[in-house]
Amino acid sequence: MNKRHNLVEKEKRIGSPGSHFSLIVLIIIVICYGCSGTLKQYKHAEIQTKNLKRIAVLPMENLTGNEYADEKIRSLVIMDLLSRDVNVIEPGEVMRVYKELRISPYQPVSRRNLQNLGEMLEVEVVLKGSVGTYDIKKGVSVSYPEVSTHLTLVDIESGDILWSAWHTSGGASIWTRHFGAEGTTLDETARQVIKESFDSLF
Amino acid sequence: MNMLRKGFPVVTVLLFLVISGCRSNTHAPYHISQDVDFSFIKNVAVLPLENLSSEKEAGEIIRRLVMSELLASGLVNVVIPGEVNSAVKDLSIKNTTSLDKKQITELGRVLKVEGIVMGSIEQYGYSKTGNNAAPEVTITLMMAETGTGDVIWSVTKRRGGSSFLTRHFGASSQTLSETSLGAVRDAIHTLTEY
Repeated sequence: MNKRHNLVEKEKRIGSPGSHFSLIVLIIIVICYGCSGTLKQYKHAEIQTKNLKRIAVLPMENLTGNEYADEKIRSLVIMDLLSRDVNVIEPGEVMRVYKELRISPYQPVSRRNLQNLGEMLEVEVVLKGSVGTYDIKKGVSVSYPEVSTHLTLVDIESGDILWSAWHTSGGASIWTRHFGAEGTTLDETARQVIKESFDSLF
Repeated sequence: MNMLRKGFPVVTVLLFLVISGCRSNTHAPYHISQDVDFSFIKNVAVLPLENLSSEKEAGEIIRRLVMSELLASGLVNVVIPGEVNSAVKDLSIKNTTSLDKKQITELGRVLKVEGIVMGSIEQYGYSKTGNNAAPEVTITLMMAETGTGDVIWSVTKRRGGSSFLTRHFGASSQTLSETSLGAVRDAIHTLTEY
């Protein structure tokens, strides 16, 4: 009786093998799914975010099969910048200047054209970028949103890249794949990508 | 017997980890000139990459990734793509994947860079194995020094396919974007590590 009581007490102190196993599996799951490092950013040594008060967000390059991905991402970028008290030039004004200078809005811009754009829009810095992925992908048994963007801040005068951030988000979470839980929407995923990109700058 | 029973779940988990972690560890081929001082390369231009895949925009997608990774390394400045495209057009270069030494030095002079990165995308998309479709990316990158026109670095990297856990337990594989990032990051790492 005493021996059995001692064994029970010992198990209570140490914990049963079943609980150890569950703990190990939980730690492994957390490690496997917690680790992600898809945001890679570069910040020029001289950039000071407090001086980023007036920015023009140029049209994005659309490298996806979604016709409106560039405009959707551009809208999210503008909204995020505005929420951080950055003065953003009105998109219609940007397009007007593009038209006046006869620059194709959805292609990469040369240094000379950037300087012309900057002079007419009266900004020192522009934000330019591209959308690599903006889609609902089909996995083995689930669908999931996937968004990837590359955003750059370019100095008008020198043409140098002051800040660059490539980021992606998406994929089916463990809860979606195995428990059928609802994942994030494409719009929510895109917002997250933009927000996390700018969090690395501001 | 008791110890065996207690240790069995832990051993099983460790075995799964080992099997899923092990993959063919053949090092992807890369070359780097031993007699070049890379510290003098401060500015680089990334040319449009040759797209040999079936995905229309794979070239530009990977090009942006390469630019981002080079910038993030903190070792070089990268010329904006619009300026590169403009220089390629002004010099009437039709094919950016087969440049001669004269074209490389000219580009270097116009863009004011010490290095030019070029390359190709052999695979960019999903490959089907059994019931699974997994992302697969294969890229080849090269850097030429603009002073001499010589290739001083080249690498081929493949990333993707279904892991053991994906094939047998339906675990999540990476997205195509994450796979691309991994391939480019591994490739650039062979240069920045040197």
